[in-house]
Amino acid sequence: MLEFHISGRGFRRPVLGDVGIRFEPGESICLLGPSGCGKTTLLNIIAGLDKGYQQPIWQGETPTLAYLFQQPRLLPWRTVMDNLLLVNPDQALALRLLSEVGLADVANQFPTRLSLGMARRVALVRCLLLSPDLILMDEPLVSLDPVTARQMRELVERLVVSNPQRHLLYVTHDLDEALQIGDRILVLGGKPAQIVSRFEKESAERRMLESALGA
Amino acid sequence: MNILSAWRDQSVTLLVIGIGWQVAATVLNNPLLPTPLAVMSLMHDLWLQGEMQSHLWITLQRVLISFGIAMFLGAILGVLMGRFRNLNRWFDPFLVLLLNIPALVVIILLYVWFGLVEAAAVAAVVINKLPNVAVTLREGARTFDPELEEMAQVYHFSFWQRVCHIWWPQLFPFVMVATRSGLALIWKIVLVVELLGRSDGIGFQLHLAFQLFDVTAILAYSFAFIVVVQLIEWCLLQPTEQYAVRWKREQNHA
Repeated sequence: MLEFHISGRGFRRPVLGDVGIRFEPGESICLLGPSGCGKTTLLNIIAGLDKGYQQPIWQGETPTLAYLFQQPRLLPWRTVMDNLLLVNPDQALALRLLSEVGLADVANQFPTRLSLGMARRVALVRCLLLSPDLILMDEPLVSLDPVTARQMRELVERLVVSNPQRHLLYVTHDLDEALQIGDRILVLGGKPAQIVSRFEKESAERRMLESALGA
Repeated sequence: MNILSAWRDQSVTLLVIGIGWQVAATVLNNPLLPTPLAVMSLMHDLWLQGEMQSHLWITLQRVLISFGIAMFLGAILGVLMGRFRNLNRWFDPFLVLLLNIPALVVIILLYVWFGLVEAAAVAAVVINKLPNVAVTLREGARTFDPELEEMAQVYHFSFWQRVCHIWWPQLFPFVMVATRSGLALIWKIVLVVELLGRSDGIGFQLHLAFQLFDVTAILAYSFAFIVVVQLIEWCLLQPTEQYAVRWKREQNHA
């Protein structure tokens, strides 16, 4: 089980207020909210990248984190394989994961030759190579065409969501996406942003259905 | 095809200059403007005597040593100044001062203070070149991509991994600019340093030729060194650059 807390106190104009999230074992949580409400900021704070904020306070041990940025952020001057080996020198594992995402044949190419969808999949492999307890994902389906987006979503479901070792915090502004990926959905809103509502997937689906039928 | 046509155009330019010069020199028929053929035949003679190679080599050594030191120190200073604003504030006036001191003043001062020794000669060249390198690489360090820094932090890159795989590739184009302008600048300064206080090297030979008004020898030695610098460009710099930026070719998306 993972649990952390961050605090916006001690700030002039905090984007985020107090936010605490607790993961059940292996749980995938989707963080939903309108654009610009502070979702990415929250991920950056959790990853320790936002120097203005205090580090998040973890209950128990600090987990191993991986972060799938919205832009793949691969090193353009290193081949796909070299990008992966920088994170984890286990070449066999890197190759196995690359073939799992269907990209074994681009191992020796430069990322500049990949499409955005392919580069995102490579970035996903790079996340997995850290063997993380928790993966942060920032809108990994954004600006992909529907077919590629579906492919990517299925990979996330297969490699992360269905793996009981891995917790996932998945940021999106798309409700359908959140319903498909998340075991639980948290909605971020307000100023400074806080978790304004939370619901389980089942009840969320029912509510959607009810509102559709009731109309 | 592009390379070939570029070569063709360049050869045409050179040929036109050569023919124009040959015609002008033949018409004037004055020892103060020797024909290109006379210059080339002197280059050939000096080469056969072994004179040319020994002086070229001595000058080239001075160029490479002072270039290496200036690049190394200038790169460290420039990158640190690019990354740390406080350091930049302290060192910037120093850099402005160095940039604006005439090369000749530095050379004279060092020779006066330390005598006509090799160390003073090399130091004078380094001091002249170092601020250019620092200014160029400071710009390079300022353009580092913060997104890649964040990535490196999240994925626990070590200091050396950052140096080799994140910072160096981003600095590389700036290093190439500093190298090109550096070689061109440094060999000219080395000649002055040699002319003023050394008893070997191309600069010293130019000094002798100047006293004899031997324009043919002056041109022969200068062209020899131009050829050397151009060979460095073709055989060392261009292949290195081609290899280093191979990832840029055939991009699918930005």
